[in-house]
Amino acid sequence: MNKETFYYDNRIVRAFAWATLLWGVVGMLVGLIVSMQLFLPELNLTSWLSFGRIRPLHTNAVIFAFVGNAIFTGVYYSLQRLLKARMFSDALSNAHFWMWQLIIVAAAITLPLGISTSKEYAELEWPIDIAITLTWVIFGINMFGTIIKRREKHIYVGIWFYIATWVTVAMLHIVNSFELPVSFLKSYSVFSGVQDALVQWWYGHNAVAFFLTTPFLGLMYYFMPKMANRPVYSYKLSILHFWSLIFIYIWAGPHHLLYSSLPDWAQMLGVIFSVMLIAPSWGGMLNGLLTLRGAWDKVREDAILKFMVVGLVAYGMATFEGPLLSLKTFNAMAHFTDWVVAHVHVGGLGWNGFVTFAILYWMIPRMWGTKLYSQRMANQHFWIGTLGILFYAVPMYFSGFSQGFMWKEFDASGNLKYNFLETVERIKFLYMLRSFGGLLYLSGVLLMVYNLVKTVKQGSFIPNEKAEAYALDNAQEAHAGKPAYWHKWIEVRPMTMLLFSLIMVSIGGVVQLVPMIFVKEQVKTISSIKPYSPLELEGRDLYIREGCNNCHSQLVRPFRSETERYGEYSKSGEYVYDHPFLWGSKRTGPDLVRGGDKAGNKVYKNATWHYMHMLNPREPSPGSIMPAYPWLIENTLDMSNLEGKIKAMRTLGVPYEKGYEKEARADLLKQAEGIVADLKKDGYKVEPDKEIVAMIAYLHKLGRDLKPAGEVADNK
Amino acid sequence: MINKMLGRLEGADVWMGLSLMIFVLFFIGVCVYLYRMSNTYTETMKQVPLQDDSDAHNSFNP
Repeated sequence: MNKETFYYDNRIVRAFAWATLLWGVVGMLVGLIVSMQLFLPELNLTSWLSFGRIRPLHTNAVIFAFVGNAIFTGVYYSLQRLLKARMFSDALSNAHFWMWQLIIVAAAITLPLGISTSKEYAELEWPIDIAITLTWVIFGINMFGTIIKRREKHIYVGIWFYIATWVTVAMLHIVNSFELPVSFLKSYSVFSGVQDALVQWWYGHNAVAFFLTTPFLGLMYYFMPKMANRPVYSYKLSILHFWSLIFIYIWAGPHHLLYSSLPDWAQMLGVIFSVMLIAPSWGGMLNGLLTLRGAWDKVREDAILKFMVVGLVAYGMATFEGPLLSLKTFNAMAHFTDWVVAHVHVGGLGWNGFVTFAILYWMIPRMWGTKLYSQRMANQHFWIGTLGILFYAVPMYFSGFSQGFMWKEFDASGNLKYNFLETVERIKFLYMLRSFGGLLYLSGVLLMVYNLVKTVKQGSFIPNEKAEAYALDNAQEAHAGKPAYWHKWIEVRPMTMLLFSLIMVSIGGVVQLVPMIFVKEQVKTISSIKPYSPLELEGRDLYIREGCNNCHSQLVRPFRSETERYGEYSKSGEYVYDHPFLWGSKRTGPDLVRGGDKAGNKVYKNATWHYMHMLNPREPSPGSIMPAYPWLIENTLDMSNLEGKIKAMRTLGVPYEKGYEKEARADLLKQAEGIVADLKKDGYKVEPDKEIVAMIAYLHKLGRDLKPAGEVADNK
Repeated sequence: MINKMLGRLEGADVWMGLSLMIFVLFFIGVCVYLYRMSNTYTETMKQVPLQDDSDAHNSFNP
């Protein structure tokens, strides 16, 4: 029986590999800049370089541009070889590549312009969301087309992870992107308040699971055996790992919302499944590490294996820490602090970064038919990178502990010991150390780029790599053995596996999301809560444009330390008109949800204070690290979409009367005149149509409708 | 102790019990299948990534 001769497509792998390097450097450089802005607020040079706008640029660039392209690099390389087939269609491969890069460019333009939905890791506006969906479908057709025309009957475990990744990311992206367009680049989330929060963190948590974890586990199962030149430690463990990981992961999203106004049952499920996650996560880590059994001596010499070992250990650390942080005791202290930042960077820099570097170091010399230019330089990269991670993570852990303890500390007379600004002052030095860590890590990456460019120059690229294999029918004979385990059965049926994976990941989503979205009793109503006035709505959109939610939460948890500092704790009923929710996930600055509660008077500031604070935060608050927002004072408010916004909100269930959109502009100006008059009393002359007026109106709306603590009896 | 760690919530025992049951049943199911799976088969599958015979040396540029 003759073998068939065919060629693997290396061109597409090369394209994604270069994109990985380019966007990796860009994304990390933006990360370095935003980290420095936290101790040098003067670095917020212009509106499009301000922290609130480019912090999402950093997260999107490293997640979707750097890690995304790294996934595609590894998948396009390994999929062809595991299936003994060229990719289904070169045209689809190219379309996938260019569309993905265009999406990244679109993100790099829109995010600094303040065009954002505000939902973390899903900030891109609706036209880009549609482009992402189309690109994902193209990737899916190309992947499943290749699986169908394969020459290897059984689908190796790495590919199951790719299949689960594809189907779950598709589901998450589509559901979390339900939004109603107002204009070409503005939309409102269909969900509101607590429901929006649950959907967002179901997405956010599982983006970590199915974009940063499962595809990399798939890559690990292919590349680790190749790098160590020995088979994976236990194939059975890999099956257990796969099914239990995808089943459990999807349930854990609510651990991002502990002590919030999310119903207790949903929080409880999030905690329990998070703890269970340790088992499959560590199963995967151990399976990877034990693949090196008998080859540990190689780790001493080989930089590639060093990167893999530290990458897997970082994965193990992050997946132990994740469940720990989801326990309510730890979460009470760690949530909103830099501890969470340290946690994600151990995963991001250690697991995603190091595994990507190892794959590039391993793959690129092979595609150019040569050896790595310098093993020594790769080893230097490893040590610089490892030091970078340590210099990043250790200061952030200390910073997180400091914040957690200081925010909760009371003095002997029962008052809060520190005001918020004092806690910021205390951690500035740690922010500097963190930037040093980031600089080290980025330097290591630049060293790698140099090493790989030199490698490429000394080799000769093999665009089409020759291979031989029997056609599938013959391959089936070669595999004929004992019949029919259910898993053996499913392994030869990719579409069935797709369906099973979808069912597995849907169970958790359905149990958690459906009652929250469709059972009205889940969100208690509060009769005093009124919709946003037109001016407040415009102000809220400015808050979203500037990315204020990147540093300010809008959620007071039911702790004395928080109610003392901010005021009454948050109820689900007060967010019913919030499309999207703006709870935030980090308190670089104080919580603002009671910012307009004049009666509570904990955090209320008058119009003049806000005006001065936006112009130069360090004048009313010496030592503050907040960026200045002079453009809010100069810019005229764009009211061109006001009618559309009111109509869209009404469609989403906000009770604006029919025809109110026609009166909205007059109402807006009337309310603005009140704020202008307030400012005038203190000697500040402002036109009513300036953006600052809308921003002040919004900040004064926050918490204003909620009755003082004793009067929330109608919260039933 | 566990209750303290999870926080005091109404009906916590029911949710914990139910979740644990789903978890355990699922795990037992997969473990039984894995136990019944042939070792010859898993050994074959383990070799799949190591079998691709396309190392750069046997390639060319058409």
